[in-house]
Parts: sequence; C-alpha cells; structure tokens
Amino acid sequence: MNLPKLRAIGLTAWAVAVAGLVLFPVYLVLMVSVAPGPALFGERPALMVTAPTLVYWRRVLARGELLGPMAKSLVVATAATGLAVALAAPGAYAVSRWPLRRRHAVLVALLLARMLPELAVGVSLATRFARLGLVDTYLGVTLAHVIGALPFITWILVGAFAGIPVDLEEAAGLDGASWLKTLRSVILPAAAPAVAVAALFVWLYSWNEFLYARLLTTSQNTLPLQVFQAIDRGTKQQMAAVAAVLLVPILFAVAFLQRYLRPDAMAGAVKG
Amino acid sequence: MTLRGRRWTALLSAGLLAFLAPACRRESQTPAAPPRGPALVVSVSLAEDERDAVRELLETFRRETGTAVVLTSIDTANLPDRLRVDVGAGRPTLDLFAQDNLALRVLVDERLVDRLDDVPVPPEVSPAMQPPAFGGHRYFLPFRPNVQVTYVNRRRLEAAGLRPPATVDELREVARRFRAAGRGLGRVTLPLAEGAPATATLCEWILAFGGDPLVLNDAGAAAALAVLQGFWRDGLLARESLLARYDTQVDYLTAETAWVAPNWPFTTGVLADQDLLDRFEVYEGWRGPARAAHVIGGDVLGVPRGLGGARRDKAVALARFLMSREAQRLLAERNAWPTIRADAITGVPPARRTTLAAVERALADGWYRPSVPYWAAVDEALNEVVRRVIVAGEPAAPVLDTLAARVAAARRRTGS
Repeated sequence: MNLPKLRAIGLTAWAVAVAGLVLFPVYLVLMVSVAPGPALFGERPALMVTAPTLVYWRRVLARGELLGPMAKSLVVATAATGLAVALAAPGAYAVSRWPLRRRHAVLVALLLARMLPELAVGVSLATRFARLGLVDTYLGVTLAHVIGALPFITWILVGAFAGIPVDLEEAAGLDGASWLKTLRSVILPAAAPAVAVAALFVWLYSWNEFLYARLLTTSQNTLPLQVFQAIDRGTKQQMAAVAAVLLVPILFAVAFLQRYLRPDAMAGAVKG
Repeated sequence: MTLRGRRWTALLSAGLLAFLAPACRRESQTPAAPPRGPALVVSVSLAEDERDAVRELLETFRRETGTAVVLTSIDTANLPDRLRVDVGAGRPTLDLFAQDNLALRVLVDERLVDRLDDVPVPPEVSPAMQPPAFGGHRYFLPFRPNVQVTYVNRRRLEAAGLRPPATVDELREVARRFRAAGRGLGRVTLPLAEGAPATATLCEWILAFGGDPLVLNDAGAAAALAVLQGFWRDGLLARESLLARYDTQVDYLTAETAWVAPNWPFTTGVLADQDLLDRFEVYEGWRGPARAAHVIGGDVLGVPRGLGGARRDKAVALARFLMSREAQRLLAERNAWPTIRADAITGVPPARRTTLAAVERALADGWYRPSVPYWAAVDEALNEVVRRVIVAGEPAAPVLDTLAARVAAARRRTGS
C-alpha cells in the first residue's frame, strides 16, 4: 500500500474516531431516554437497549412538560440572537476602525465584564428586572440573555471587522455608496462568517442558559430548567428525553448557520 | 438586494418579530399574572410522581375558594436567590412556598420571609411536627415532615446472607462483607456532601452515640467520630460519600455504586417509576449505642416578605388548606407522605407501604434541628469535622475541642 493511501486511511480513521467521541454522549442521551429501568441498573449497564420503550417519552409529553418550555426557549433564543447581533454589529464595526490601542482597551474591558461571577451579577440584575415587572415575561429572559452575550460577540465581531480591508469601504464610497449602505452591502456580507459564529454563539448560550432563566421564571420553564427539574427529582430516562429535545433545534440552527461559515469569505476581495 | 441580503433581512425580521410578539405579554400558561390577577403562585419542590396529587389538591382549593393557583417548583438551593430578587425588588412573584426544613435560617436572617404569628396551627397537628420558631416568632407552618430512610440492594444482601443492619456494629459487618464482595470498594454511602447532607448525617451519628451536636466535644460525639473515622480508614465507606446527597444517592443506588444508602423517601417513587423498587429493601436504618436518631427534614410553608393585603390573606388561606385534614389525607393517600396530623392517617398505595412504615418508625426517633441563632457556626464546624477527622484522619479530640470552642464563641456572640 502506498503512502498517500495509508495517509488517507489514517485520516479517515482519525475523523471517524473524533466523530464517534463527539457523538457518543448524544447517543447515550437518546439511548437512556428509551431504556427501561432494569436496562440501566447495575455497575456496567449494556450500551445497547434491546427492548426500547417510549413510556418515558409518553409521560413527558402527556404531562405537557415539553411543548411549552420548548416554545419559550425557541422564542427567547431566537429573539436574543437577533437583538444581540443587531446591537453588537454596528458597535463592533465602529470600534474596529479605532486606533489599535483604544481598540485593545475596549476589548479588554469587554472581557473584564465577563470575568465577574455570573451569580453575583445575576441576582442584582434580576432584582432590577423584577422592579420593572420583567419577571415571568419573555422580554425579561431575552434581555438578560442579550446582556450576557453582548461582550463576547462584540469581541468576536470587532476582530472580524478589523480584518476587513478599509480599501473595500473606500471603493464602495468612490462608487457613491453611503456609510449605511457600505455597512449593509459590503462590510456585513464580508463579515458573514463571523456574524454567523456570533449568532450561533448567542443562540446556543441562550438555548442552554440556566441562571437568569431560573431567577426570572415562575410559571413557565425554559427547557434547561425542565432538564434540571428532571435531574433534581426525576428519573434518568425522563431527564434524557427532555435533554434529547434540547438537541434537535440545535442541529437545525447549526445546519442553517453553517452555510455562512466559509473560510474563503475574503478571498479575492481586494486585488493587487 | 442580493439573495443573501434578503435572507439576512428575513432572519433578523423573523427574530425581532418573534421577540416583540410574545415579549409584550406574560406567560400563556399562567391563568393570571400574579401581581395583577387573582391567581396565587406556590412553589413546591416535587418528584414527578408527586406532582399530580398536589395539582389535584390545588384544583380543590380553586373550586372551594375561587382562587386559582399556579404550581411551580423552585428547588431548595435556588429558592433563597429567587426570594432575594423578589423581596429586593419589592414585587413578590411567589405567594407561598414550601422549603426544606433544614434550609430555613438564611430566609429568616436575610428577612426574606414574613412572620406568621397571626396564623394558628390546627390543634390536631402534633407538637413534634411544629417547625422551629426563630427569635420567638413563627415564620413557618408545618406541611410535610420527612426523614431519611435506608435503601439496601436486596440481591447483594441475600448473596452475602445478611439482613439489613439494625445497629452500628451490624452496619460495620455488612460494610465489611460488601467490601469483600465488591472488588475491595466501599459499598456504603453516607450522605457526607458538603453542606446540609454532611450536617444531617453527623447530627444523626452524634445523637445516636449519646452526644449533642451543639456541644460537639462531648463523649458521644468523640465516640461517633472514632467509629466514622475507622469506617473511612478501613475503606468501608464508598468514596462517593463525599458527593452523596439526595439526587446523587439515587444514581449510586441504581448504578450499584452503593449497596447501602440512606436517602429521602422520594427515592421510592423514582425507583418505582423505573420498575426497580423490588430490588431494594427499604427500612428505617440503624441505631447507635444510645438511641436511633433521625433528623427531621421535609418541607414547611412560608410567605415571602412584602406580600400584603388580599394576596397575603389568600396565601395564608392556601397554607391553612394545605394543613387541613382533607389535604393531608390526600397527600398521604396518593403520595405516601407522612402526615403532620394524627387524624389524617389513611391507606397508601401498596408499593409505598413499606417506605411509609419505615418513615413512620424513623419519625418516632425524629430530631428537629434546634433553631439557635448560632446554627451557622455548628453547620460549619460539622462540615469541618468531615474534612479533618473523617477524611484526613486527624485525631478527633483536639479537632472537636477547637471547633467546640468556636461554636461556644458564636453562642456567646449571639447572646444565647
């Protein structure tokens, strides 16, 4: 066997091993959600379920513990994503055009905001939200998630915008484009991969967020709260069933946004 | 506009639309928003199979009073934070809550809970079931007494030809035999996780040896610690004991990490849900040389501070309903909860009878944690005992003397 063929086989095996490692927890969650109790009992339960059951799924669905929390999580995550990107992108663009030293100062300040313990910030923020009557509203959880995500996605976007050559803007300006049109038609498309990464980050952060949801929710849980409730006092299978539902929209979100994650986005943008 | 531009616009528009539409209203599942409408919001931390009976009870309350009740579950650890938010904002969103009897001090100390001196406890409620008063005031009402019972892996027990250990000596023998059969690993998990689990376990052991957890350096405490230290040193306790609390104990039992494990009785429901209950013996646990001792836990009812007028009246009415014979009887019948009232004892589902019998026997040896203002110092000291005496193997007597002095200083500081 020649060397290139060996290398191809090795790389394929490596890729399969990595994929297996990544997908194994997903498999476990799905497997546990359909496992009868005795199948999970003991020190080394089998990794395959020979007699799967949907009884725990039915129970979770019958008790109405999925649809309400899923709808709330979907709305909050999508809204938080839209709002966070809409707020962060123009600010990040402006910062990216500042001199290097000022830009670095802003980036460090943004990271500092993320270094504070979330619980300390969370209780104080939630108290202010409660004064405004935002407890138990979609708006309250959404705004809390936007606040939590803004520093990091601004940091991502500043880096992305800084990498876009100023020549592009100047060329658009020479063609008669206004500043806003340049931002919308030239800069944002060029930065689409970074915007997609930022959006994905906010969406996943909001989808999985627990602390603010716990502090700002009374009557309708989000999905992570529902998972926690199952972990706290429920069965493994019920917890796995709710966790499996958590996975599905993530797959859709990643599938939708991955088309923008192109490594060649800037190729050929500026000649000579 | 390019195709990609349109996609982005569509995505952003959809996101903002999705945001604005529901953001302007409150949750659809809430019959009425708490501050504006007539509904009450009550938080009770429940296992899945306990929820239906509580919902049924709240529906009965709605029929009788016309007041709808939204049931939510905020767990013991998160409830103080939630009350800090509500009370700090002056806008309580909870009207009534049930909280773990072992986690009340923080609610009183931080003034998160209202006094309930004006609410009479029904005379049928046993005095032993009355929650502790704080500074001479009643802040909490009895709701659900509870104690830990012990779960033993039946197959392992039978294979070893043993019976559930009834004394500390028998426990040592069972632990030794289980260790030999279990690849040299300790198979008894005591709830020694940092915080309330460790405190409750040490209190039970010290009392069982004739000691007083508030004194800490008496002969009983020293004897109890010597035994526990020996158990740990000889590998008779599973190392997982340091992480053992109400939720992890269930996992240890079903994964056969633990073959003997004390835990709260909701475990029975979780095991029954998985068709695993018949694999376990459930009984009240072992007694020490002096007595059997079980820390009384369970939930008591409280009203958040800042709830005034009609809302408070309704919350109190709901609390009184939950203490009534009708409510306690239904909870005993459906959830096999031990009851606070002697006149509410009734039949329970067959699968729960053994557990309820064990709970009642354990309650007979129940011990309510005293509501002394220096309890935080006791709690801290008991946790330090676990780290230094049991795990690190330091000699018990000097450590207990040091910690007892610290507790005594806290007692003097609080004027007790």
